[in-house]
Formats: sequence, structure tokens, C-alpha cells
Amino acid sequence: MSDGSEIETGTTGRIVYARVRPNEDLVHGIEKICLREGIARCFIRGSLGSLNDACVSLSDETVQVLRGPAVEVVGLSGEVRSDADGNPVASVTGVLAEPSGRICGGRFVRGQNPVCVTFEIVFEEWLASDPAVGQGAAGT
Amino acid sequence: MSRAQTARPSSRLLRHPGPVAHERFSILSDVASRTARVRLKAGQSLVDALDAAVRRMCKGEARAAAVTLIGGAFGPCVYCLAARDASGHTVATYTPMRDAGAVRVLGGAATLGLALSGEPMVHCHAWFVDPERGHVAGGHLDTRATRIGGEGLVVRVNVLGRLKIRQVEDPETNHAIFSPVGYVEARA
Repeated sequence: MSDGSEIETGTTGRIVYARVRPNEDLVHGIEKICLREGIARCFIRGSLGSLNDACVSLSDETVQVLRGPAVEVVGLSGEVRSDADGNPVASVTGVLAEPSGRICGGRFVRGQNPVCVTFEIVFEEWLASDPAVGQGAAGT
Repeated sequence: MSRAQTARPSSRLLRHPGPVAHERFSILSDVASRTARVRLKAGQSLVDALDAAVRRMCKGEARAAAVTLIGGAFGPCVYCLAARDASGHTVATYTPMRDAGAVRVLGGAATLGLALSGEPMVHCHAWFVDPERGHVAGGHLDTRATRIGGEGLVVRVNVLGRLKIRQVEDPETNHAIFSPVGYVEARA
């Protein structure tokens, strides 16, 4: 009997800590670090930092730009998966604090979230054990 | 969709006061190490509580850790927001600290490393709700002034293997910033 959910079992591999410097994009930065480290899949853990301005999508049609500097990222969660060609694709959402103190959130739009002072990102590598989904491009 | 994208205001790149560092990403990795669910006890400062918990996990040794705030309370919660720096010394500085009193934690993250002085230091961003008014706020915490609240605070701690995380002076931004600086030597 199936409820339609996808279950992928696995174990955690390496843990990676990265400091991202100013004006690098948050989403591209996460993907570049995965390329550099040979990580095919991971969860984003314990990450925090600030953005010049933030750009998040609230739905497929709605995008919101929040003006800094700086917009503080006060909550962040996400993961990186590989596309069919083995390229890393990050999907990251966050909770944001504007300079005014207003709290908002959404999914970070690729290329539109430049780091302000610093961003600390912790990656927990995910080694899927299900043969149906394979091991991705890690180590190739 | 493309029409909406072309009409979208875009985020800015900002020039910082110092020379732009050549290396844009500082990255260190280790095999995944100890992970724990920890309930931090009320009354301690956030930095003391996390430093003590990680030492207990690592046979008394100070280690760097990435921490996810799962739930619980701060009391008081002392925090600030980012602000423009009128002096031009930095692109972004901090507002004065504000005391939110006792709050319920909604989420956040923290890094435990070493300050410039060599003392334990925690960099923490969190969001929380004021239980009296229901007002949601968040920002950059003063982790020495912020204390664990009455119900405690549950966190997930990922000790970062042997990675050494230390605050370093950054000439590009004129801030002192956590950076991965090497590995702790194995104890004989």
C-alpha cells in the first residue's frame, strides 16, 4: 500500500563549513561549494548571515525584494540535489529580518541574494542508500 | 513569467571599504562527527550553555559546532538588527541592542567558535515570539546577555569534527568574522 510519498533512506557523510564573502550570491554560492567539494546531495544546517538586499519568492508568481543593507537571515533551511546531468541544484528557504525589524520569508531566488558582510553555511552530506536513486555525481 | 522577471527590482552589489579578497569562499570539511540533541538549562548565557554542552560531548575539549535551535525559550533575549553605517567605516553595522524580555524561540542557528581573544564565542541569528503580545521578531543575538529561558532550550548540535572556527579581522568589510582557520590537532 502506498500513500504516494517518496522515501529515500541514507546516511550522513562529510560535514562542510563555508564562509561566503560579500557580494557572492547565496544560492549560487551553495551550489558552487557543492561543486568544489564534490557533494551531490546535502542538507543545509546551522547557517546564518546577512544579505545586501534579499529577493524571495512567495509563490510561482510572486517575488518580493527586501531592502537592506543589511537583511539578516534569521532562519534558513534547504537542500541540494543533483539534476539529471549531475549539476547541483539548491533549494533554500529562509526567514528574514529587515532593518526595520519586519519579519518575512520565502524561497531565495537564484542570483538575487548577494551576501552583505558574511554568510556561514554548514552542509551535511547526504549519502542516499536506495539503489533506485543511486549515488549521484559525488567523487567523479 | 518572463515579463514578471524583467519588471522585478533587483538586489544590489555593494562596495565595501577595504580591498576585495581574492578568495570568495573559505571552505573546510571533515567526516561527520558527533551530533546530539541537547536541552540547555535555564539561567545560563547562550554562549556558556553551548560551550559547556560541546565540551561535555568532546571529553572536555573545546570544539567548533553548528547549532540548530529547535525550540524553547530565552529570558532575556537581547538582540539587534543590521543598520547602515553613517560613518562609512563599514557597509552595514548594528543597531543598539534591544531587550525583548522573555520570548519563545521559533527557530534559528548558531555557530560556536573562538573570538579574537581566544574565548568561546557564539554567532547566533534567531526569530522568536513575545508571548504577551504575540509579536514576532528576530535578529542578531548578544549571546552573552541572552540567557536560556524557564522551559530550557532544545538544540541540535553538530560538532564540526576537528575544524577550527575562529573570529578573524576582515580588511574588506572592517568586521571581525568567523572563518575556518584549520584543524584542531588530535590529542595524544
